[in-house]
Amino acid sequence: MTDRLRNKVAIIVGGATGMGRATAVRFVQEGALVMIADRNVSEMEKTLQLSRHHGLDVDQVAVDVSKWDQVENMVDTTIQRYGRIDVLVNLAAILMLTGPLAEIEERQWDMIMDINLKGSFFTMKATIPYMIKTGGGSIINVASSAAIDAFTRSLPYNVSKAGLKHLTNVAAGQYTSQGIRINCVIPGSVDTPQARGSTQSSESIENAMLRHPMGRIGKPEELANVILFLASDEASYISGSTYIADGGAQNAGRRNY
Amino acid sequence: MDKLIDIVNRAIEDYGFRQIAQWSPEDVVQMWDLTNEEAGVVTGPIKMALDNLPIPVEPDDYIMEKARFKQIIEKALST
Repeated sequence: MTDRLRNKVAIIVGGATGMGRATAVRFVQEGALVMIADRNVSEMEKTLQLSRHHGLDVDQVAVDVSKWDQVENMVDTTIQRYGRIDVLVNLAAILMLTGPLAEIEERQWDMIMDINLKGSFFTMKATIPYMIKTGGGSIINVASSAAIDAFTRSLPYNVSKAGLKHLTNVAAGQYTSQGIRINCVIPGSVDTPQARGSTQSSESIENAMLRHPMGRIGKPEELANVILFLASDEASYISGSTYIADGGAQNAGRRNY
Repeated sequence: MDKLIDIVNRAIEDYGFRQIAQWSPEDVVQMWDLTNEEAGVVTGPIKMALDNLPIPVEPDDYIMEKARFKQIIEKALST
């Protein structure tokens, strides 16, 4: 532990599994006071127990980010517990597979957009006023390589992640002058339940590893380290930026599996 | 019955949709315009069964899982 987030209060939205779980643990290791937020209560409880191996100042709150009243409750609970919010990490997302554009149902579009894009808008909208009150903060939005590439198996997912990247840029333009740094991380393939679920078979994720220039896909902990850097004061001059962490897949032309 | 079959079939083949059905079942109830009885099946036995599905369900297992879930639905609606 090097205390890179000593006494900073962080909400990890989507903290129950995968990159969210790794980020919660990493933040606690670095001295942060962490509120884990997710709708998957059973997995969130496991993340809470893992995090508590490294520190006691960690708690949890159930939230469906597509519901404004639940997001307000998440922020209120954090303020009541810790008194301030210094870091917000937006990791909640779903990757629902769809057909070609003309076959996509309105409800498929809505379900994906509500969580992946509107959810981050809601969490930022609810959190930013508290960050302004305390002189600033750091927001990290975790998008996907689908934000910049054409991942043809889910058009709404692509659009939601591209929207999240642009939400980051515009919000950074609006709030950096008030001390809030807002950045975006674009992971390539990372070994998470979401990634394994979206491949439709365990064989296809193994094939993705073989095609990757590193011969493997990313680990959640590797992405947590990128998020940690952006949350910490080491990134004090960085806002409105996009960090691609895909193990070199972009330049090898093999980012999507 | 047909709507519930549609919901479980999607959840078996698509992990993204499965998460909606598990953690925001009220959205599924609303979007599929389910009756109170059907909603109870989604939030009860279907959710319990979805919680125990592997990630992902292998394509070779789709037919078996869909048949198993159909039985769960039929049993729930008959009681």
